[in-house]
Amino acid sequence: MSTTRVPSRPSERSRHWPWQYKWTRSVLLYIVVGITAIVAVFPLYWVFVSSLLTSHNAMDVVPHFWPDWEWSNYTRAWNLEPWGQFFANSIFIATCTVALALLTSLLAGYAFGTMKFPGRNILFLAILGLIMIPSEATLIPSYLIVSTLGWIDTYQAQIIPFAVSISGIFLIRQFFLSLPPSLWEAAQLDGCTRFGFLWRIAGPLARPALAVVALQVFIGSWNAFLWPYLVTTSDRFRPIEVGLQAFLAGEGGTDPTGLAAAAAFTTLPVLVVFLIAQRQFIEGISVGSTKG
Amino acid sequence: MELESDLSMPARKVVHPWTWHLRRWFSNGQAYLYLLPAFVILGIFAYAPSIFVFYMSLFRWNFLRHGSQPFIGLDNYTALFHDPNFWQSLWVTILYVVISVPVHLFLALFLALCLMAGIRARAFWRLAIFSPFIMPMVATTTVWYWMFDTYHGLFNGILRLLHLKTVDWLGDPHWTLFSIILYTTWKSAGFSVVIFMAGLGNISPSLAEAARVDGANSWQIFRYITWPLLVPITLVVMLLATIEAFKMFQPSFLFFGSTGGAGYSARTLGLYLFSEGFSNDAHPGYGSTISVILFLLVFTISIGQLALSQRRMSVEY
Repeated sequence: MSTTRVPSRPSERSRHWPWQYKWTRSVLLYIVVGITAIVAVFPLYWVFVSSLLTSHNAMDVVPHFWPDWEWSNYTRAWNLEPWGQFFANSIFIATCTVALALLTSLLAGYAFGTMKFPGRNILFLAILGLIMIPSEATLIPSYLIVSTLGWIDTYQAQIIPFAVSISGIFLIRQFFLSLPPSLWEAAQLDGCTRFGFLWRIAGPLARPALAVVALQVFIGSWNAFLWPYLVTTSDRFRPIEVGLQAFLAGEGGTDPTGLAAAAAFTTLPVLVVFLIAQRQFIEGISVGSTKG
Repeated sequence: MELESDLSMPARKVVHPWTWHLRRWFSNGQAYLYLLPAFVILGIFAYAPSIFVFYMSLFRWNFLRHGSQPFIGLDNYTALFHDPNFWQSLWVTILYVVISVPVHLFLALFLALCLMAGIRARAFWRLAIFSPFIMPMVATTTVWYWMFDTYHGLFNGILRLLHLKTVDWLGDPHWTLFSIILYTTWKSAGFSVVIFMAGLGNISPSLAEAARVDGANSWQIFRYITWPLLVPITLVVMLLATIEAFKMFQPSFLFFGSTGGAGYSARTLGLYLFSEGFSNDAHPGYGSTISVILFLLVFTISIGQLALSQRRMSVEY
C-alpha cells in the first residue's frame, strides 16, 4: 500500500468516509430495491396463492398469504372452457407470427443495414415514424380493412397485421451495420450474390439478434388481447387471452379460485419462455433504445 | 457505409462501364425487393388505416351498411366540439398523461440509479422489476382487481392494518384514475428502468471518479456529470412513455368495461373512440373523428419532443 497505486485514488478517498455512512447507504439501497422487487413480483405470487386456496379462504376478509394446495381449482377451471382449443390457437398464431416477422425483419433489416439505395433514409424514417402513430387511433379503419378482406374470425386476421416488427427491423439493421464490410467484400470475390451472402453468412451470424426479435414477437402475440377480441367471434379462432377474458366475464366471475387457476396456467407459457431467455430479451431492449 | 465505393474499384477495372452501371442498378434495385414484404404488410395494416381514419371521419359510417356511406363533411367535428363526453375524456387523458408520465420517469430513473450504485446480484433485481412488463394484461388486471377490492382486497387490508380509512379504489370516481396509474406504473416502469440502466452503463465511470477526486459529492456528480449525459436517453424514455400514456385504454377497459368506470372517470380518448366505434349502437365515423384527434395529439407531441431533443443535443454536445 504505497504511492505506486495511483489509479485507486477514489477508493482511497472513500476509505476516509465513516464506515457507518457506507453501511447505511448500502442498507438503504437494498431496502429500496428489495421492496420494489417484492412489489413487482407480488401479484404473480398472489395469483399462485389464490389459485390454490379453498373457496372459503378465498372469500376471507383477512388476506391469506400461504396456499392451501387446493389443486382441484385447476381441474375445475380447465373443464369450464375449451382451454385446449385456446392454447392450440395461441400457439399456432404465435408461431406463424414469429416466423413471418423474422422473415420480414431479416430481409428489411438486411436491406437497411448493408445496402445503399435512393430513399433509404426516408424509408427507414417512415418505419420508425410508425412508433408515433398510436395503433389505438387506427383501430376502426384497421377493423374495416380486415372485415373487407373477409378475415373476421380467422387466424390470418391475428397473424398478418403483426407480421412486421418495427423494433425487429431496427435490431436486425443495427446488427448488420456492425458487420465488418470486409466480410461482404470477401464473399463477393468468391462470387457470392447478395441473397447468397444473407442466406449463408449474414443470416446465420444474425442468429442472436433474430432470437431477440422472435422473443419480442412471441410475447407480444401471446399477450395480445384487444385486437383478437375485436376480430374473433367464435371459440374456434379465439386466442388464450380472449378466452381468459370470456371466462372472467362468465363463470370465472363468481369463482375467484378457478379464475386464479386459469390466470396462472394461461400466463405460465409466456413466463417460462421469458425466464429461459430473459437475458437476451432485456439486452435486446437496451440495445434498441441506446442506439436509437 | 463505404461499402459500395470500395467494391466498385475492382469492378470498374475489369468490366465494361455499361455492364457496371447495369449491375450497380440491379444491385441497388434489389434493396427494394428485400423491403417489399415489410412494406406491403405495413402499407395495408399501418399506413392505409392511418390515412383512412381521416377519410372515415367525414362520413356517417356504418359497419352494417354495404356500399356507399353518407358523406357529411365536417359535421362529426362540429358534433365533437359540442360533445361534453369528448371534452371529459380529453381531460381524463391529459390528466392521466400529466400525472403518470412524470411519476413513471422519476421512479424508473430513481430505481435505475439505485440498481447501478454497486448493488450485488444486479441482474436478479433487474429481472424482478422488469417482469411485470411481459405479463399479459388480462391476467394482471384480474389480480389487481382483487387487490383493489373493497372488502377482501389487499390494499384495504393493509389500510385496515394501519388503522387508516379504506378506499373504494375502483368505485370512487376520485380514485379510479389513480388506481389505474398505480397499475400501469407497476406494469411498465421496469421497461424504462432497463433503458435507463443501459444509458447509465454507457457513461464512463472514470468521469465520476475524476469528479470525486476533485471533491464532488454524490449529488454534484449526478447533477453535473450523470444527468447531462443521460438527457438524450431520458428524452427517448419520455417520448415512449408519453405515447403509451396518451393511447392508454386497455387497462381502463379491462377494469371497467367500455363505460370507463363510475362517472366515466377513467374513460380516456382511446376508450371513448373504442366504445363509439364498436358498441352495439356503433358510430365508426364519429369514432374515427375521435381517433383523428388522438392521432394528431400524439403526433404533434412526439414531433415536439423530438425537435426538443434535437435542439438540446445540438446545444449541449
